[in-house]
Amino acid sequence: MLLPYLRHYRRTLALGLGAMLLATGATRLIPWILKLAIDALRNGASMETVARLGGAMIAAGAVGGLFLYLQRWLLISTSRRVEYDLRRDLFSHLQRLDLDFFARQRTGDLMAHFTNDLNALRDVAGPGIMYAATTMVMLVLSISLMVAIDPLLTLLSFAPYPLISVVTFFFGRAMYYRSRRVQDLFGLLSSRVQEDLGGVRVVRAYNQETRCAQRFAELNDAYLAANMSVARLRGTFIAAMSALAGSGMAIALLIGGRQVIAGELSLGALVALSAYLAELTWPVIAIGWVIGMIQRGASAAGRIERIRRAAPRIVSGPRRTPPASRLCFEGVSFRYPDAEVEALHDISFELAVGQTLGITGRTGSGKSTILKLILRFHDPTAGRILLGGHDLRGRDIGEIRRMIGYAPQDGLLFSRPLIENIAYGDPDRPREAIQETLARVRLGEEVAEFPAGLATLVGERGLTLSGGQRQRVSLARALLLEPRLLLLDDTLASVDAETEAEILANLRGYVAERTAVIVSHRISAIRAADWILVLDEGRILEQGTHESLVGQGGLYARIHRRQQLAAEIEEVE
Amino acid sequence: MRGGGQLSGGGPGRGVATGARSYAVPEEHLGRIYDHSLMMRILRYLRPETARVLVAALLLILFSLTSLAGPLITRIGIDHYIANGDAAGLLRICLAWFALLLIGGGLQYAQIVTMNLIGQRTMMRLRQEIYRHLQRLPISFYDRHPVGRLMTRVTNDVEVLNQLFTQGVVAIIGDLVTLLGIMIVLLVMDARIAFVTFAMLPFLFWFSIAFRSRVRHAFRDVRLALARINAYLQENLGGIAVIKAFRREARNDAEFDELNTDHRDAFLRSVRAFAVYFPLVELTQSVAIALILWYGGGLVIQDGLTFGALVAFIQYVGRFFRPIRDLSEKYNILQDAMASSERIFALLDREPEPDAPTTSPYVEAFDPQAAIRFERVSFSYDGKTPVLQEVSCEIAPGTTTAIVGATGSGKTTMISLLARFYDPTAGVISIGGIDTRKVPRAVLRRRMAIVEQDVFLFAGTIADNMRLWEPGISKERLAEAVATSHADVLIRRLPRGWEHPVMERGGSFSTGERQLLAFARALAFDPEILILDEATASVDTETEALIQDALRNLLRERTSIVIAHRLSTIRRADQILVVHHGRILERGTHAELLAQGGLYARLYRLQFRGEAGRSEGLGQSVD
Repeated sequence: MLLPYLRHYRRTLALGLGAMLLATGATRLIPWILKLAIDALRNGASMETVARLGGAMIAAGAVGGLFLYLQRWLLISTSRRVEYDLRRDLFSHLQRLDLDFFARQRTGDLMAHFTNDLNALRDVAGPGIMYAATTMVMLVLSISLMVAIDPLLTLLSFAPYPLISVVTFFFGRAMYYRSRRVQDLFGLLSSRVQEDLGGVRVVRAYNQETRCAQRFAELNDAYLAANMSVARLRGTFIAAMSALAGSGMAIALLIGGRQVIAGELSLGALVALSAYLAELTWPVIAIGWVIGMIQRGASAAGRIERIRRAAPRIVSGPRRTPPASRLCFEGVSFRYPDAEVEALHDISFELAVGQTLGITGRTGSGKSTILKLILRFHDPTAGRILLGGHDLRGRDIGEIRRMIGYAPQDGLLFSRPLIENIAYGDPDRPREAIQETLARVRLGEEVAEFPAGLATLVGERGLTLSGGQRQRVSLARALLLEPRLLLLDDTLASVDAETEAEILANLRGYVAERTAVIVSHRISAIRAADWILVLDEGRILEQGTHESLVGQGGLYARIHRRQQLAAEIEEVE
Repeated sequence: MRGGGQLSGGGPGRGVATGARSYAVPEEHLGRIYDHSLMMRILRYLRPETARVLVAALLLILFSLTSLAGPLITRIGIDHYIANGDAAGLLRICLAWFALLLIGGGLQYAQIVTMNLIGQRTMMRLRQEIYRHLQRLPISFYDRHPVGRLMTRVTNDVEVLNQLFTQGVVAIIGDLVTLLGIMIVLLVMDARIAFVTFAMLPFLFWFSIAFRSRVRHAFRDVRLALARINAYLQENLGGIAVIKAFRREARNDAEFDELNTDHRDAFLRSVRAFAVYFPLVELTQSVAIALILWYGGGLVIQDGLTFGALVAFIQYVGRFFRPIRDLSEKYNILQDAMASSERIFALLDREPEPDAPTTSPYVEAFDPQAAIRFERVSFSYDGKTPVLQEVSCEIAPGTTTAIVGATGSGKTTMISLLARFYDPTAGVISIGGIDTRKVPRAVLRRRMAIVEQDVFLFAGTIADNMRLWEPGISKERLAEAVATSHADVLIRRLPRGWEHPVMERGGSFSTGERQLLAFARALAFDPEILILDEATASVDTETEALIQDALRNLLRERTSIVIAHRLSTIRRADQILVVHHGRILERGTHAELLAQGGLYARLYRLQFRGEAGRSEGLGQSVD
């Protein structure tokens, strides 16, 4: 999975690995120079020789430093670029998946792929590759040089080091499980706080503050214990590491010292060998560490690959010419995936260009679903939807959506300036058009009072809009597109009756010019429609014009009467 | 926020926030690094750990000293034994080294464990203090502060401080000891070479400071970019329907690319800093070794400096540099800890809700089985919009009072005031003539049970949720409560009965089922005063029948105040209060009010005419 991404940077990677080779090689020279210098000194060399060797050492350090810089820059930066590419592609891919996919996934889980899993992959692509390669080169070079100095001494003094790798690996595993427990408990702790604070009224009403605090304390104890078990493990590991690495040095001094005494080894060689040994500690630790990293990377790759393999089922048809806005449902039924009952059953109606359809019915009766099918968020399980006489499924999705203005039920806005929210579908709309639309939805005056007018940031970190304001912004967002087909999903539900009446009056001319489907709980919003459907459990219960439906005395008439009464009650002072 | 140092423009990821960059405004500033009074306050939390801190410091010093021994032993080995051909001596000193390594390992282990224990214990105390403090803050505080952010104070912010305790405060001692120890050893071995080595220090400091500031800025930008990416993802993955309807996919790709690029570039800046810093440190080290070799070599030739000393010098150089390198890390820990502790202390400094004294004549005279009176009670949540205006009413002991009215008329506020979730802005609520503010909340609430409209269930078992955590409620009493409230029918259906797990916020239970469970909970506490906010959501007919019957049992022989949506409850009430726009507009029995032909009559007509058997409610939004 990672390979195609890495391949894109193969030249940089090759250069980086080359730099790594040179950097490691150059720095391996330093202990050797040290050996030459000490032996030269022992043999009574001149200051000049020593100075020359010192100069050589600085040169080796400088060359090593330069290539180390190149190595780190080329290799690590590549991993950051790979991370960027992965994130970009993943987001782009996700945006194009069906709504069904999102219904099955929790946003939090998807976000975790973007953070944890991408991090794991990036770690493999950068530090993983770099440390794995460096360690190998280091080991090969250092051990060769050490063997060149003295094979037996190398063997004996290096003996504790493989142990370090093994310990690191097992430590990493044990650490992983214990850390998981800490993380789990941390999650538990967080959700406990969240629950106790979320249910603060119940806790107080039933006088359970002290007991909740006790329970929290118990959880705290467990959390402390888990943390301490990690600390003990880490303590053991760190202590064992320094002791093991130190023993290598001690062995070198003991055995090598004897050889020096026996005249089999020069003092300089002993010092150089110790120096090589000391520098091997980290690479040897890195082996165990890199293995764990690769394991994590592999499982992360699996999770991301699953998303990348998900393909949208709702795809564009071949016809690109924009269809006419004549809308026709022919025996449309629809069932959401995993649902047992149909959300819509055998819905048929026809809407000529410029006509308005009103839809009402109880919550869950399928009103919104009709709009979602027109938008091709889903395809019908039976029947067809025709736009301009052609089946939607044969059309380019972009072309269909381009002609639609949709105001969803929840009035979802984005955390950005108000103007960007209104011009969300077409950021290039002139300001006058925006002002005109704002006036149309009766937001003009309110916006003028916002701290920064149209530039006011809305959403979580900006100004908190009321439900009614949000809905009107959402409506404006749809109206601004001047679509040929307007879909309104209970768009004025949170707007007070008076404002609603004004907006409806403002919209009369606008709606008359285009085909519109208006879903509403409120009769007032749909009474002027050319045709009205009353839905119940996914079926058409009643249909007709407002007058004919009121005359029928059915559900529509009952709802109408109740709403009139409710309006009267509101007016009581 | 601290310092108030506003981010100034320039560079990607900063400046005026528009488009995708308006997601997540920076929460952190690069302001003051060190605030003495803040630090003192943090350190005060270490006081109960004084003994452990001393032990940890001692262990750390000892360990630092043992870790210094290696090069020194090498020196003795070379100069005293190898030079003199004393193999036995060499063995002795090497064995001593092994022993020292073992001791050092032990010391290090003990030190790490002690230090972590200090950190963990301190954190635990702090977490508990914050938690208890939160439990004492007024309900109105929770109306203004999202729970998620409060949770962060208890968890993440405390965790940041932990780093300060385990890796910061005491570890600095260790670094200083190591640094000082090496300096002394070097000076003792040979002052001249020591000074040559020290000559490298200014460079190293300089690199470290430059590096640290660069990395800090880069990481700050990284965090900001990441916060924006997350906020952007959260919103856009959640709002995917709007994105598709408005065909924003391509534009969003471009926007996301901006954030993604900011993130990558900020990271690349940090990568660059690291890539420059590490080689520089290595180079400095090589230069230092070369200098020691050159200068020391000269001394060996002319002044009889021993080889052992020369080697020891070279070996010390690496260790000398490490603590200095680590200092920059400590600096970041300190900075983070300052920011977190400031947020924590701001929360702890909030005044808890004042409460009446637990012993007073009022407490002794308090009788929950007496009449409840609202006398000209007014209330406003924000101090501006009145929610209740001069509400007066009397509720006789043992009777049921139903409150009816449209959504937003002030019904729920009335019961919130009675339970003292809030106190009235004007007027008095009394029970048996005693102002409820004169008795501690715990005393008042001990005799009350409240069932709210939106029933809150805790993660745990059914039994946990029934008795909450009250140990005084026996199994028998619980069984009785469950039977009376008909929750037993529901519990019997669950595979694991009493022990059936409840998910967070009671996920798998319907509104009606939650209501039944809440009834059982209220009954288990056997209150003298029952406060009930009936659920408005429609319930399946079977559960509805259970609820109706349970309600009859529940209200019997108790003073009850019910925000009623069910006709059956309303009809049975001894008194009905009709609330409209924060005032009591009408009061009386069902028959009286119907006869009056006022608002109640209209509400009744709206909701119940012709469908008295159905479970629809007054005040429910018309569907």
